[in-house]
Amino acid sequence: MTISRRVFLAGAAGVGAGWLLLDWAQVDAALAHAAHAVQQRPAPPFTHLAPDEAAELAAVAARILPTTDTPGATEAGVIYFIDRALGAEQRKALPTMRAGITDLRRRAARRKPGTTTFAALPAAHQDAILAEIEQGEFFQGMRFATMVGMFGDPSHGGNRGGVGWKLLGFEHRASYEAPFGYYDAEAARRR
Amino acid sequence: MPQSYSVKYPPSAVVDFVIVGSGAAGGVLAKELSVAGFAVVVLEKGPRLRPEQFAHDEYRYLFQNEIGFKTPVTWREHAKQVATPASFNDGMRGIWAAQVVGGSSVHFTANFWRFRPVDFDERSRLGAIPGASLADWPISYDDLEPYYTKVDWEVGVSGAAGGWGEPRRSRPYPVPPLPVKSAGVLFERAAKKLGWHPFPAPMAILSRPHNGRGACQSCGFCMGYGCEFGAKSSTLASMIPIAERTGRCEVRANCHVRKVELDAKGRATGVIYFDAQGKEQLQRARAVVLACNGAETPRLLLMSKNKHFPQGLANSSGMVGRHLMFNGGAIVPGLYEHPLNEYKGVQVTRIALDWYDSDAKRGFYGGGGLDARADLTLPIFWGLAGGAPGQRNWGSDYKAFLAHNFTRQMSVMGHTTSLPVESNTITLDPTLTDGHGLPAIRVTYRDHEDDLKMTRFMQERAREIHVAAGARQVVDFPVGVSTSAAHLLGTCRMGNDPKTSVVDRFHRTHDVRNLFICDGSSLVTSGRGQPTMTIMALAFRAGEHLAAFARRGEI
Repeated sequence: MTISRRVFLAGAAGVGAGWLLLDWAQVDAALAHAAHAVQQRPAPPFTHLAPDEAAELAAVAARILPTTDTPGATEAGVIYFIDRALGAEQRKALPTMRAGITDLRRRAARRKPGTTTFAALPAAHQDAILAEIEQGEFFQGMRFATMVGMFGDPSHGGNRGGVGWKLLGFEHRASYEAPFGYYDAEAARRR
Repeated sequence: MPQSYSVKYPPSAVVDFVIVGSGAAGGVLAKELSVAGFAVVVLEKGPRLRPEQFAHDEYRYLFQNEIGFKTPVTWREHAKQVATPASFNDGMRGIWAAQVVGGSSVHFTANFWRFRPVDFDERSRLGAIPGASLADWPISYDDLEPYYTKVDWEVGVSGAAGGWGEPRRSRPYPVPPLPVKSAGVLFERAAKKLGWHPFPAPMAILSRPHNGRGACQSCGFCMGYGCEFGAKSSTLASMIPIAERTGRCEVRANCHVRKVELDAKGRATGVIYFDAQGKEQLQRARAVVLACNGAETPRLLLMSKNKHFPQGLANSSGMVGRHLMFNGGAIVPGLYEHPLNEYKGVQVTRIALDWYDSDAKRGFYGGGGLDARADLTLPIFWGLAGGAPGQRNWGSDYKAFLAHNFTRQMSVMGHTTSLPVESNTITLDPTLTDGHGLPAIRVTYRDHEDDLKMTRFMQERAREIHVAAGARQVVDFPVGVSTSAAHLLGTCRMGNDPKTSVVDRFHRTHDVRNLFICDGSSLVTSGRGQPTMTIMALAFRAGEHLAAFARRGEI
């Protein structure tokens, strides 16, 4: 069947060790936690990542879906999805994430001596580092997590205020009525 | 959550039929046999969900496999290789099926194409195909036509009679086609321009209220999701409630069958299963019906080997697990100038089947059809896989691409035949086990070369649709060997000869008089890509025969 081929061939298959492993025992509690966390303003503290770890992963997510003239991973609160998920249904990915952070810092120091964090680098340097590692498990896991945190249901901790959905033009209503799009509306007018 | 909705049989009860599996076949059989007056227990491995529990949540359903297939699977192309784990959770390889009351009929896309006469006797028409075991069915389209009509009316199919090349039908569709989407409009326009014959897609989703069920709300969460409106014609929505209302059918969720029991005379006495608490139980029955799908049914037979059947129950032919068929598919996404909003509404509204018959002029065996579809056009999937191969799939350019094109994309999909190849199999993995210590499913599969050629042929037709429809960009993916499957067909094929088939024309196993099999494994050929309607039609027909056998004491 083909959906898989599409995921594969679009380069989306390597989601990184552990990122999709299922642990349903954790999920109900995690969802309840997320629903609570999402309601809190200002943003809650991180629950599973140390602040400096969260800053590094947030910086990576912000290069995967940057803030431009439209909101990106930062505005969507992608890092809060990642923090929650790594403590729950995706916790098996935590070692890969931590190893990835160590590697990012090493590469950051090599690229700009004296630098101690990836997050402190200018965007162009960050992009160059990510391009070096984009085939690896860490980056693929981060790409997966960023997409879920940007475009997934807000109950999972990301996509705050539905900014990811607004970016795409996805209405997320429970029902719709025809006409759905430009071409069927045009055809209906002609009839 | 209650696990039983009606009658509850005591553990010691000997029921008339125990049915393993509650999906497309099991759900229909449960309804037919209980309405016919028999005591029925259905054992379903997955949980039972109430309609309001079906969420529009892509992360949970598509990426965490909430209602998906939990049996571990290993995969290889050839018998000489060691199979490696293939999970749909990890890279979307392996088997995509639902494990829930209602089975994969809960999460299917609901394309309901009838097979055509040629699907049943192609071996006679074409002769042998090298490298394949193409065979005629022991039944014909005419034998099955009344049961296709039962599926249309009792399960509920939307459509318009008179589509191109449509075989004889004894009744029109009960409800009209679903509202056409932008993809359907573009597809129809382009196909006509190319001289083809598009028509409204027959879908097992109600366009109008029917049989006391409500109509589709066009929410768009069909493929991979349960329908909380009950408009999608799963057996959970259509058949199981009727079965339970008879007061003779008990559906037990979270019950995992591990073995079919036989007595000393070689008769099936019941099945052993792990109940919802993980405790081993025996359900005794006058007859056992397996309807677990084309992977789990052969697995259960192979796990049920005993001294009478050392190579697996009902496997004196050696055919259990062989001739696995998936159907080929080629997906071709295209981008358009104006918004289509394909995430709204059912996945498919127009199809064309101009390539149904195999044509020697193409130089290879195969038949197929095209549809215009929303191919997982939901936000997370789009973010992950929206780009073309080779396009950088992160960064500000990619983000702009995603934002501009989410509403402007549609896919054209080619669906094709798979030839039955004896070396394409379901077997038991020698090392990997599931949570109960039972062997994992091992898939050995390499598409027949003609299947790959036919898939590429349909991919070219799909591209032509986009070009004729004025697409701004068409995305090409190379067609390669299968690494995953949603359709699981042919592994206990039906036939008159006990040496080359597992069940007879009435779904009775050749080897065990009171053991019956009806699901995708019964199919002798794969059709042109949409097997579920045929699985349901077979189940209606099998139900009638099983009831007659039981009344005559022939089980």
